[in-house]
Amino acid sequence: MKRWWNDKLEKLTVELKQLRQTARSNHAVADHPAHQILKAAEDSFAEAMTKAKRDHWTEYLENAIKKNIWTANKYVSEPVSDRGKPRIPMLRVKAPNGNTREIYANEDKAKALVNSFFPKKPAELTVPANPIYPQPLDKPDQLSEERIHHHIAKLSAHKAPGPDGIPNIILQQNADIIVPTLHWIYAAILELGEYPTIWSESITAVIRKPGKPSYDVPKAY
Amino acid sequence: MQINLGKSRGAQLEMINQKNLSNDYDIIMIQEPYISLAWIDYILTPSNFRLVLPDTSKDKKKGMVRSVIWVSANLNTAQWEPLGQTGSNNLMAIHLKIEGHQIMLFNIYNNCTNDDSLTVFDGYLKQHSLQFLGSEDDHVIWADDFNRHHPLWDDKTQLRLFTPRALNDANRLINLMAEWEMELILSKEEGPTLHHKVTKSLSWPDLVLCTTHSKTLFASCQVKEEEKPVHTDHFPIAYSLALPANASIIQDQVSFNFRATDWKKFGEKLQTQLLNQDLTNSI
Repeated sequence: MKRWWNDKLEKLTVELKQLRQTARSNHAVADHPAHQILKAAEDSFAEAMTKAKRDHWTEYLENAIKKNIWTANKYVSEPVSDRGKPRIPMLRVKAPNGNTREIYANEDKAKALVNSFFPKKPAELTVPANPIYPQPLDKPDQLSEERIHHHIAKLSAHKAPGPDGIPNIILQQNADIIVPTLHWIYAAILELGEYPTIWSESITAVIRKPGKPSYDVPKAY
Repeated sequence: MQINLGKSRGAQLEMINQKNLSNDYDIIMIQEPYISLAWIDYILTPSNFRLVLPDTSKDKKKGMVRSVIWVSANLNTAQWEPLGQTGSNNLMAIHLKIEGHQIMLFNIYNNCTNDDSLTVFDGYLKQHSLQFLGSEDDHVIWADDFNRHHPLWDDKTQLRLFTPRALNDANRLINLMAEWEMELILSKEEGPTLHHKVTKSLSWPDLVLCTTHSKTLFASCQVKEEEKPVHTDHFPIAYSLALPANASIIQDQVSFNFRATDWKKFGEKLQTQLLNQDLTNSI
């Protein structure tokens, strides 16, 4: 169901269903009043849908002036979509030998996108053979709880969470409860010089670049 | 499910908002969808479905798209492949691969004034049949609105439909059916599929066909007149296939609305949970 759909429309569909059943049982009688009644009900229902859709948008825009004006602008200026779920179409990828390969399987598409998002290190390093680095900085100061509070406050609250599924708003709303525990963990990490590998995992959402002529190349994402 | 929406915006809006649509149907084949002139190949689609349409949808020389398919997001994308290179905006196909069964689904719209779609379809079948027909586990289904009339599928008493010309036009389709060993699945006793808007007459132009050996796949095939959306004169046809019902369904991931959290309660719970954790153990 779309956002503009409402209970009133839902009720009308139930009524329509009954009228359709009556019309069905009177198929044989072409001039039976049931057909006229159904036709009139369908017309007013179609009108009600158009009105509900338009009213929902108007109402959204009026409220947006106070709150979501930038989101509203995005809705208006972005290319239209079919409003369904997307699917990554067949991808064309250039093989090292210059041939173009067509990719259909989901796993292969994922690999092609990963290769495009995270290019491999170049074979030859451009760093000089014996580089001279500046003097390393001193070890950071003892980690304080205030610093953790400070950084939690700076996070954006409703960003999509990582693999653990914990959104930043939870940390912010419960900072007082959770910071002492986090402090323990972070202090130990700094002390021992160990970083949990599981924290290096992240989720990459694949999003179309708007307005591309064709989406059969990984570069369009 | 298959339905001709008669290019109606009202019909399309009602369809995409039908309650439980993605629970009731996995695949919906639409003939004559509503098309907004400003956005030719953006055809309004229900939230939980994926739209597939012919590759030539943007090609104005090929005419407007008259055949599209909605595939529920409940079906794993690894189990179906859209086949948009049909060469016609009236013909769309998907290939399903479910548990050893390979099913080729064609959604075909044929305008009543000409045979163009039939010609393209005939050519497509000849050229590609090896890819989807070969073994007993390969099945083919045609979901179509050919706009043809013949006593084979129409009510025999509707003599007005069977003009010599109509019968001649239908012959081409019957030959195609015979050539590919397709059988009618939708029984005419199910009732008519069209209640003409203007003439108020009833007819049976929408057909469901499958390869002879695939008949046993069909658990049911019915005309659902009471589910007809507004402003189209065709009725939906619903069918179900008896396929191994296992992993093909993707469960929706649970997601939470954190904006509506009761933070006081949440904090209390978190506090107790933290107190119960012994963090002094080495990991």
